[in-house]
Amino acid sequence: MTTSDQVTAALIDLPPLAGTIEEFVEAVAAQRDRPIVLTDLPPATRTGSLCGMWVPTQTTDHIFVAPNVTGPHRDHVVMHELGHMLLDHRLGLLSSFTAVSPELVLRMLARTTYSDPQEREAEQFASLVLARTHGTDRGSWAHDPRLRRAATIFGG
Amino acid sequence: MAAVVWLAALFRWRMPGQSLRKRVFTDAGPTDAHNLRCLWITALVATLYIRPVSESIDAVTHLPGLAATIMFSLLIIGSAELLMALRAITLPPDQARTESWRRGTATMAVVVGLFLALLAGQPGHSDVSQRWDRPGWMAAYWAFWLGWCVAASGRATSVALRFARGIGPSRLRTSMSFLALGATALGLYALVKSAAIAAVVRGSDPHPVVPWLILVAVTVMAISAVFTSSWTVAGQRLEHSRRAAKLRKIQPLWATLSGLDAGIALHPFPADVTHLTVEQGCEALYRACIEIRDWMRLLSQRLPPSAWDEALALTDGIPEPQRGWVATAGWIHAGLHSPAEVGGPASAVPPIGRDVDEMERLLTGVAQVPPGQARRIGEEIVSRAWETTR
Repeated sequence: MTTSDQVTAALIDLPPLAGTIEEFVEAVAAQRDRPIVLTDLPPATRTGSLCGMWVPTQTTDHIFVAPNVTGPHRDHVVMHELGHMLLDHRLGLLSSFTAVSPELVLRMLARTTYSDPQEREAEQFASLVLARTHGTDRGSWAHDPRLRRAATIFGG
Repeated sequence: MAAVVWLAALFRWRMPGQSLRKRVFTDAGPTDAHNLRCLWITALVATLYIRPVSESIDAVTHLPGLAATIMFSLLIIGSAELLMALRAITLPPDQARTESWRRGTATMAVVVGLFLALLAGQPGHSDVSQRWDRPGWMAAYWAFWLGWCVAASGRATSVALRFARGIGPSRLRTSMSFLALGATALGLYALVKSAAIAAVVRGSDPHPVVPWLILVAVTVMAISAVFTSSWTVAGQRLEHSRRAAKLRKIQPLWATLSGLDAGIALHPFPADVTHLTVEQGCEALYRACIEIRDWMRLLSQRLPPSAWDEALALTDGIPEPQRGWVATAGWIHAGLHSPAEVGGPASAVPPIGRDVDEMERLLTGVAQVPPGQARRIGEEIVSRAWETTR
């Protein structure tokens, strides 16, 4: 399966992106039957380029976002971290995050640059979901490949 | 009216021509095949609706009513193709094909019924709504056709309304609303025509208002058919060209900032924005904006905390939204020309709006600020901000 196939497969069963990103995160958590906690990055980790991070523990997925990331950029960062989660990515940077006990952390990924294949995949995922949202005009079509195809065929 | 019919027929031929060209050069799936057949059929129907064309077919074959029957049959087959196109989009391939035999058989049964009634009834006129010598066959013929119209009207209205609720951009919803309007007009046509045919079969004249109601219904159907496809196509083209223009404007800003950290760019900037598909254009502009925003976060590390406040103070008096564009462009210039990271607290990053549209508008505006103005503001930010810090 190619990268884009994996990303496309992950898009198919997503809940509709109809409201705020927080509502979308709640819907994904309900679908997976596993809580997702969305919080600001801890002060110790607020380095220059780091703007998002996903930390899964035994019971909960934590998504951290830099507090100075706002608006659609924040939506994108959250979606990028959801991408890691839904694409079942593996942990890469465990040692750099000392605030969380390594025993609890199964995987942890940080959005910095996209030279890593998993980072590229998560970034593609976020872009595919969000690139076609306009203003508040969001709906399931935005990331449902079948409805996006319908929109393309019928001129949407 | 004749001129309108000619124009409508010509217009309908444009679309299958374009789709065929697209199909030749791209890998078409089952949806495209159904959709393309539907477009060809619509164009044929529009052509058969031209009176000299239909009369010449009847004259050549010595079978009055044949052209009308072919036209009705094509409409029935075309609607089945459209339905299959929708099913191929919304259902997995196996499920989409599941009921195709049943639907195909029902469609063929109606078409065969029409032709049998025509051959048995021998209407004697090209206009099959005039009284036939054998009125029983006339009633059967019209029962096949109008029965299908009622069923198609109900089904098309429900499908159009479901798509209008479920699918994206407002122009597509408008397009689906036109389809629902056309389907409703088809229902009106079936109702009025049923009353008229019943009167003719009984040997009396239809009510004088009937031709007018049928004209209204057919006109609404024709308008709906044209707007269902052209509304979205025209809107899409306009939006696509606007997006291409934004990409061209934003490219220099993207190129300047990409020197900060090339690893942030997911793809190279499109070399020729005119050749992008709608979807590619959408994604390219979105990516350009997100990447510019990521680079702006890097720049914030080079500037002291007061830098953005200084940018706003320096642009006080410029009307919005230009003020935001100029302040952001000056802030970017200041960041690019600051020697190294501050080390302590960084500058706030300029806001980029509440949604994707606002972000794209803002960054396109920033990219258009004259370099001289950005430089002047940027140099002033650097000198004032560092002075405040000291």
